[in-house]
Amino acid sequence: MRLLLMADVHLDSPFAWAGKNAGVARRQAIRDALSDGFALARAERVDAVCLAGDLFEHERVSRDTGKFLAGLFESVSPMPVLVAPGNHDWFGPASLYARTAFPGNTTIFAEPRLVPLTLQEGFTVWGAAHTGPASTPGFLGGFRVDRGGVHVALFHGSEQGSLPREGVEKIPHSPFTSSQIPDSGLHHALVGHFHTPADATFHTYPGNPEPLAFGESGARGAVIVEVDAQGHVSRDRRELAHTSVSDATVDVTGLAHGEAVRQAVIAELSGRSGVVRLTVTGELEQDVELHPELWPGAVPHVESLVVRTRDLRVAHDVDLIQAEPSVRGQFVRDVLSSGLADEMRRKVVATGLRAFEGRSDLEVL
Amino acid sequence: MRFSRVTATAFGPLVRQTLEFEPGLNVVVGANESAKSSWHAALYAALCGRKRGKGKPGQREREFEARHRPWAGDVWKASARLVLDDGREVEISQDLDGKVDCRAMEMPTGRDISNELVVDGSVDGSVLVGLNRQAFLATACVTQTDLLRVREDSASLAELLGRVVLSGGGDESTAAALRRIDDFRRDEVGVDKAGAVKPLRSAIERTEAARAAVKAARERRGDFDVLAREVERLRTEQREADSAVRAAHAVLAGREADAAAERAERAQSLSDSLGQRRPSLDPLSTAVAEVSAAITAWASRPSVPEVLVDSEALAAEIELLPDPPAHDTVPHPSVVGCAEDLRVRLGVLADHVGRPEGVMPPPAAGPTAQVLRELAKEYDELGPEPPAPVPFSTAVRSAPPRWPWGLVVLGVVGAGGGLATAQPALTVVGLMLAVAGVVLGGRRPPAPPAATAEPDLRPVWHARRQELDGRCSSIGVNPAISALLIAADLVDVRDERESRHRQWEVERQRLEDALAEAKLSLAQALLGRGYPCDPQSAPAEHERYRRACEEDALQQRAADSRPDLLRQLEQAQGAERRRGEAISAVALAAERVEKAAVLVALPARVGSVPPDAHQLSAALQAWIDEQEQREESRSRAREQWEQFDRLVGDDGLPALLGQAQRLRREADEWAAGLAPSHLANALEITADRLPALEREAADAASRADTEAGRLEQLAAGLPDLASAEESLDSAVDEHHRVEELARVLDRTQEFLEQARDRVHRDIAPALRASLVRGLPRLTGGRYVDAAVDPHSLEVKVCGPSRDWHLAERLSHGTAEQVYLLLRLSLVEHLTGGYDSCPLLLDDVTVHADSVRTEQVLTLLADVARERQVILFSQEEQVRAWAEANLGGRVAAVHRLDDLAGT
Repeated sequence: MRLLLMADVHLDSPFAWAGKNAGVARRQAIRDALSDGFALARAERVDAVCLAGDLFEHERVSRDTGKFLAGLFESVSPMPVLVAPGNHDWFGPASLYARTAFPGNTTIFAEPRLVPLTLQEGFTVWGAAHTGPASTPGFLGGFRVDRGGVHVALFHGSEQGSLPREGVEKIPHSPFTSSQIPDSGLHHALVGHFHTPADATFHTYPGNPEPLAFGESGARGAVIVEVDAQGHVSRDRRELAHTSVSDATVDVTGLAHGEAVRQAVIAELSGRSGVVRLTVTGELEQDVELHPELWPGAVPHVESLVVRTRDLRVAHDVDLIQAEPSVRGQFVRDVLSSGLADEMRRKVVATGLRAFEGRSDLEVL
Repeated sequence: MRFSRVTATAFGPLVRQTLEFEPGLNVVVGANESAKSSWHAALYAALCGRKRGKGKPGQREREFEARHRPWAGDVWKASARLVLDDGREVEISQDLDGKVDCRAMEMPTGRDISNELVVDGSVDGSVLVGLNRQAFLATACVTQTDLLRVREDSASLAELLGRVVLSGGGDESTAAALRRIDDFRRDEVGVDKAGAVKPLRSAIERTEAARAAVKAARERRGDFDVLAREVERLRTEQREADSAVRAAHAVLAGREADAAAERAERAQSLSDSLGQRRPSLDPLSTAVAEVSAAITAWASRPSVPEVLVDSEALAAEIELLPDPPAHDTVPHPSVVGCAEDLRVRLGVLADHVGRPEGVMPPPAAGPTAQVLRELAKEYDELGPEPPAPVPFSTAVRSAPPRWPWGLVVLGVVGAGGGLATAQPALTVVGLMLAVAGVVLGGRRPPAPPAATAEPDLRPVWHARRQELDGRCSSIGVNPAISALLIAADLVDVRDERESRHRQWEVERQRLEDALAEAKLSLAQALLGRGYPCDPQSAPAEHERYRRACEEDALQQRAADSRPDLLRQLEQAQGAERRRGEAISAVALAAERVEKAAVLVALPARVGSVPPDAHQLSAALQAWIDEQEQREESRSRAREQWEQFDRLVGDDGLPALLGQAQRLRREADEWAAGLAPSHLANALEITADRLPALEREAADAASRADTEAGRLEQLAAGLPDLASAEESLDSAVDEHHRVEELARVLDRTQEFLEQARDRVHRDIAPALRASLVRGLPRLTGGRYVDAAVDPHSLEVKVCGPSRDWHLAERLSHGTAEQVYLLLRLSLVEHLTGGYDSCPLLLDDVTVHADSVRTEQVLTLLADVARERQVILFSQEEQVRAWAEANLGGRVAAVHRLDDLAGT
């Protein structure tokens, strides 16, 4: 039995972090990745497509997305498409799942307990749904398969042992432990929720197919899970992401003018695509005028550019200036000896000195 | 530190020219266009160089470049040899164009000390005196422009002071820097108030709008969720209603299926029992009909009636009947009434005559009772005879006589009663008693005469008595009063009896008259009935009339029997006719029976005799019964076939079996998927309930569809929450950026103001002290004291009279002097602790009068004792003064005209 597993697609998710006007493109990229996943399912002729929750975001999902999904599911018909709603696409009367006419090859698990679906004789998929955005208990607590054959679970939940990797901000929806899987008679669990891919002995997290945030690492996308007659699992990961999300850094120390900085940015971003978070660091000569708003136009191959300047320092010779017996020297002395936060202190010094210099760019990045 | 020489390799109009200086006051004199200002600028440039080009140059720098770039297009260079206070010499060479080949070397060692003097990327020799190129320019390097600005600009000296000195030599003064921050904040941040259009307000409004959009979008989503749940609830109701309908259909279809199955089973059973042959559907044979008709005719044959009356005899009897009488058969009521009236009147008259009343009156009438009673009254009034008069003393009173009145009254009453009752005995006894009473009364002894003293009344009395007695006598009555009264009563009795008799007579006569009248009426009535007679014979004629009526009545009764007899005759004749008809019908029925018997071939004989009609009829009935039994059997078969036909209809048994199966399938289909509870609830359902259930289901569907439609509309209009959230995040970021900028600007402003106030506080006393030292000599004693505001750095001066004046309000010349003094004071203050700072002055006395010029020069000569002063001037007075006062190793006069071409 070959299954294609995807999870945490997060259709219609907002992407404020990706920069202005990047949201639409990012959402389209997610659709493209999902479409590629279904194309992969057709190409690989898997026995079923399994979606382990958070296919979309309930609060934001549009009817257009519903129709898109219905068309996508239809595109692999009669291949079964199994959907286990998660905490973001929880099942309910108002759910897109309940409001969309999905094709007949679609099975949407709608109950907050594991319900069996026999894909073929001797092979049962147990699916469950989150029916609310929170407070969904674990599906494996007290669960036990009630028949013979190979059993695979499909749900959206938090494997407790993985929580430290996911960070404290990750809410443990529908928690379970890896040992609960064999204890309940299941051979494997296809799960979503954690965006970091994981190929554990008894469970598989495919990870989000299209980047959803900076800092995501690991091969993610779809997983072709092959389950043999004894319930042994082998996995083949396929990346689906249409865009990359990467970090870049430009050190402006010693760059004499704005154009030099711009060229440095172009050089750093050369060959990059997708969404790039550019950190401008180093010491910026005091006369250099930065215009980051002009940089995206210089790197059209980058889908979206997010600039961070919090580590940037302006290269005024503050040691010399603060020695001046002048208001300017006194100003620098006062600011440097103040209890201001480093960032604020840097900006206040630079702003004051620029004001003394009669410059118009008083806003310090 | 001082300049020992300066070389303008290429600087403005100067090309490879050098100017050497003495340690003290150097006055460089030249006419207009002798390059004084170029040399002044070249000194500055050779010492401080130019800020290495990072970013756009400031306005002052651009002006400097425009004025002093080499005219001939050579490389812009200048150099200077400096002598430090400790005797060391430093050679500074400035590449003013590229600002790369700039160096400083310690001489004569040649050690490159450039790195020690680099400021803003290039060598700045002013560092040696504790300044930088901006500060040096602002303090030690005074140009005509600065002076002109003082004169032309009404701005305060403090502003100038702040710009050139306290900013640290920047292009802007602290105040200007603060203003710039203010301006920037106003333009790039703005204020948060309604109507503002600057970034802060815009960001807030955009954030609020975006937040409102997100809130609205979420509310729409919330509404959508609520409505979706409502739709789901309605759909559940609809499903329940549909299930109820389906269950009802299932139950009803199940019943139909059961019924169809039952019919099919019954039809199958009938089919199995009836076989394939259907009984004949022909009606009973004609013979049966004929026989039945014959039997019916025989059974309904009429009975032959008996004839009891001979119609012919009866007809003869009728012939003998009399005609009705011509007169009354009963006395006519008018006659009867008159006869009865006559009979009654006769009775009444006889009764009246038989009971006569009263008595007949006598032939001669006596006195009336009234006359008698008047006489009695008059006697009574006369009284007894009066006594003879007697003396009064002898008079004896005696009691008057008493009459036996009770006896008299008893007698009168008895006599009256006897008259009234016609009992003479009683009358006589009564009269006797009355007379006895009167007699007894009259025999009583007379009363003794009364003694009187009055006159004698007896004669009168007697006369009267006689007169009364005479009257009594005349009418024949006893003169006694009682007798008179009794006689009066008797007369009353008699009068009453006579009156009664007269009344009786009158009544008798009336009765007789009435009788005669009745006879007349009877006679008239009889005449009316055809019996004339006179009234006297009317009673007899009436009797005759009555008897004639009785005879006519008998005749009438005989005549009256005719209709009855005629009716009897008709009945008799009808009976005789019906009898004949019945006999014919019986014969006909018998004939039909016989024919029927022949038709069905009944035996011709019963025993040895031919059967009669009764026997034939019975035999025929038996034959019919047999035929009917056979027919009943066939009929039952036909009924079963008909039942079979009804069961299977036109399509036959296989179709019925198929229908039963189809109905069962339909029932199963209806029931498919239904919960057992739905079917259980519908077990008692009846077909008439189904429409209501279907209406309920339709209503539920309608409600659900309506809300679903609303949901669809709502879904179609759901906003793009993700985009809204992104817009909100973007707006929030922008808001945060502006707020952060505002905070940075505000803190910058705070620190700037704080630094300004602190520096001003520190420098104000020093400036004042410096001003006070030079001010009296510079102004020729006109101003002797000065004050510097530590906040605004405004300078006030006063003369001996202590009248304070703002320095900027003084005359231009004085103001320039004060300004120059301030410069000197600032240099002194700012370079304290470093090498002495030379002063580079360009035409600073150009606007001063001769006195002030000399005062300035004197002051500069004093200053030059402590620091090098290089004064450029075009004034003859200055040249003359210099030539007169300067010379030797510490001061010199330089003529630029002399330098031309070197």
